Amino acid sequence: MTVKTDIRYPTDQCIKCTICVEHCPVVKVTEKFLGPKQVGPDFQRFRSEGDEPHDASVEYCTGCRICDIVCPSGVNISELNTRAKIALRAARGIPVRDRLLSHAYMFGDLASFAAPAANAFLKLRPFRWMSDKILHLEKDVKYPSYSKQPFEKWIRESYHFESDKKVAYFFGCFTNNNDPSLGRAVVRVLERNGYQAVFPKQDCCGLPLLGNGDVRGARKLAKKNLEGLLRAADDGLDIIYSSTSCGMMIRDDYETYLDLPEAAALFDRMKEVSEFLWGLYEAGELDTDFEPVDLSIPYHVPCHLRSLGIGLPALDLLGLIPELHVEELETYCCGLAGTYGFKSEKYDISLAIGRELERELGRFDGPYALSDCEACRMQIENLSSKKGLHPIFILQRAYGLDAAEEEPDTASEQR
Amino acid sequence: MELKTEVLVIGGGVTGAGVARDLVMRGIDTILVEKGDLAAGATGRCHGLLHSGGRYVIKDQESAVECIKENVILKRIASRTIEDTGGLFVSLPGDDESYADRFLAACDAAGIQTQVLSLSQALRLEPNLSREAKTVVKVPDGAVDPFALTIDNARDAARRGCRILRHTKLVGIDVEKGRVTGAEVHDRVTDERHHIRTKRIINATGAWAGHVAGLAGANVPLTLSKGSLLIFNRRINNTVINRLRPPGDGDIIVPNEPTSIIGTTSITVSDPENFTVTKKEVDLMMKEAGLVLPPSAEARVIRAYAGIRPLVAAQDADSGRDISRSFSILDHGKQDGVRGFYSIVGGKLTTYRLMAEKMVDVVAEEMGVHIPCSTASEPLFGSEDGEHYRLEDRFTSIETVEEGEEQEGKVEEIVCECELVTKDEVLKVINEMKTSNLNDIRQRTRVGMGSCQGGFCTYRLLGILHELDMVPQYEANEILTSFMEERWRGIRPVLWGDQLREEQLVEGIYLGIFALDKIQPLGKKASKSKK
Repeated sequence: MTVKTDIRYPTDQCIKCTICVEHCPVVKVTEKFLGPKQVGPDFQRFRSEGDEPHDASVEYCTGCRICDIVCPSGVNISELNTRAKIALRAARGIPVRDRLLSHAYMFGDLASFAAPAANAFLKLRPFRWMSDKILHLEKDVKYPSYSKQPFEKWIRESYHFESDKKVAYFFGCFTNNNDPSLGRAVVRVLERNGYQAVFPKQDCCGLPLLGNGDVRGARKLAKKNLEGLLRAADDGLDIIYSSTSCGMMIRDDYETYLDLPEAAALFDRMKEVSEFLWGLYEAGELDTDFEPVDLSIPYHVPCHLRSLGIGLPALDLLGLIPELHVEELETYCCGLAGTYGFKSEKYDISLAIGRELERELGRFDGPYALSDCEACRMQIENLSSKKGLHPIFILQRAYGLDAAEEEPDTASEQR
Repeated sequence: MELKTEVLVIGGGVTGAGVARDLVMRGIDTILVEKGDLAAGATGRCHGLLHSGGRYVIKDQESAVECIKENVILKRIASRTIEDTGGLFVSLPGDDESYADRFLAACDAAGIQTQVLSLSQALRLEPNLSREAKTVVKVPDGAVDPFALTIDNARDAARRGCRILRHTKLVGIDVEKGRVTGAEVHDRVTDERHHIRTKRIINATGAWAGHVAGLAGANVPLTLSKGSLLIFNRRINNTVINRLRPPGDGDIIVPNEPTSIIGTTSITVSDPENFTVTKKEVDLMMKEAGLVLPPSAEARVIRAYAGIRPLVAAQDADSGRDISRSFSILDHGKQDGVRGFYSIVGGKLTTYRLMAEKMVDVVAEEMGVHIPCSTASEPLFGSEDGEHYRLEDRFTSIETVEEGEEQEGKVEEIVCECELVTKDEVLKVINEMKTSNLNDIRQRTRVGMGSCQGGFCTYRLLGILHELDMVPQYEANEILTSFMEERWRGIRPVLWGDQLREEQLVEGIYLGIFALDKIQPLGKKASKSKK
């Protein structure tokens, strides 16, 4: 047992008020998780950084970070718990299954190449059985389907817009492999507003690796991404992202967990896509020539959007569209939490956390539900018959830009 | 009720419990009487430092040699209660550098193993150590849990046939024709009086020794010296930190469970029961801690407390520091003409076993018992495997993870989240001790001793007691209030920063939400609290 030298130390600042436990989505549905306070500031008195946490219950933390948001004492609870998870994995090793899940981007390259086969394979009962029995991957969950044409390929072949006004776009591996239509929607909306998207050399942001305790792997990816992103920032470009989790990882976590202080230079440049567009609107530069969209759509706020602390810019933007009715759902975590919901021992917990969202979605008749996070969209499709959409698709429709676009890619394969 | 025993031991501190164990191990029938709970006096209000002897090595070689010998013995026989942290003696700018050389030479002479560390070695061991440190010497200090040590001695003695009467106060000693013939005791729980027939009484009551001796018409010349201590919310050091200079105030910091404890002061007082920790003492200790471990100036302090050292009065000593820390055995037959009455006073937690051995040697000889002492080789009940305590072992009480394909963690219900005390542990104590006294439970589990100082676990404890039907009618509020009052008494001297915020929250809950200060007692209070 050794002592951390940093004396402004969360365990001293925590006054045990238990608000974080009250808000924790996991504690609400299972006793397997002792709660953010217990495994964080409380356990911290009995261990130090780098010590094996001796606590397996931290595995059940979904990493939603609601605890950080609600803590009145400013304790970095999720950081403590993430570090404990990392230490646990360092001590006990990372299961093959988790490596597979978190390397979906590598797997993704392959799968896109052979998309039809991959999608069929993921649906095959033998694969389901194998993955369930051997890898403890949940067989009843819908896996993301792979697109035949990755977003990167589309950029190379079909994106030719040029303009003096430029923004860098970090689209992330999910958009690239599983949901390229989101990337296309983003660049079309930017184009409509006179902005050319440039694409810094990029790979997966690394969050799935970090979430599964593979710091070294995450750091490798981060260093690759930083090269291009820092150059874009140096050129004075804003860097937009359409995946809240990627944005959080790059903006906040590179510096916090991966020992990459240079990432701090990106903080003011990183803008969530709706945040960027709303900024244009406030500056009087957004094209507001919207066609009416006669829809009533539920909107689920991703936890990682909350933890970004940028408000709900998508909701503000959609509010500009005539006849559109968007209702913000009174929901917290959807329960899927990246790779969490795909693990068979956590599937029931993931579903139980999602019950609230399921109930709320049930109040709406329409075919769509909105969320800015791909994992939330997958969970929406797991829990309901609705299709999960990124808010930018609605904007694309209001601009009349989706005529060229076939149906948006589905977040997950249909059963 | 009439009881009978060969030897009656008064006082359930570590000395009394150690004496009782030694007596029964030599086949002598023994009763131990304690007016409150075990370890409630000086034992439970000390640093929890297992001395290497380094502190006394220059001024008092004899004490130092006693310490190092006992240190080695206790690490073996009471391993469960000791964390083998090691200790450092650290000199800072302005300290007399020649002291270090004399210190090293004296340690060699006393048989205390030393190792001089470079600053970088020291910092690896102790990241919070001052970068100004000049000489750093490693010694075999350790941290010992005084509650556990006392309880293990008592439990071991009880298993060998010793009868232990807790919450039982000695009210009179019968002396006939210059010889002890018995004692009168008062059971404070049942309000009954018992007479104990015995020919020998050992007075091991520490600060109360003078009062107890008075009951037999004997005299123990004591100086009472108050030592105050502060508890940090977490460990700010890994090893015991001492200053490499002549012993002074606030110059020892001991890692203790998940906390660090700094002490002490040395102020002569007259009353063993009524004393407070003053602001001056708090300021002094915070200043001293900041010198040797600079980050401690910012660290949260959760409690202050004080203990009374019973020092055997020496001639013309004006401050407690100069009185020998070595112990005295008084045979009042020779001294005051009360045969069969003995007092054992002074000494230190580290030397309790040796004190007990010497005391029992005297009594055994008087009784004609020739069985030699075996406490130095016979491990205490629970320490047979020689495994030392490790803080991280506390996790294992919380959850057991099945090493299987599914990491099925079975998680225990936690009553005290700050100190990781499970409901099972609490129930075990309640059932074993047949006690509903919150302080008894606290001493044995550490419930209520963490960051929130009882704020979030006291009512849970009360709930458990209520479930077990152990809360007497009309007493729930009194139990709650008196326990919280005692917790708050220790927080009052350290109300700043994070602990002040904590206290405001807890007061908001108990006084604001529960309105505990406005509750009128419902019925008649039980008559037992009559003085």
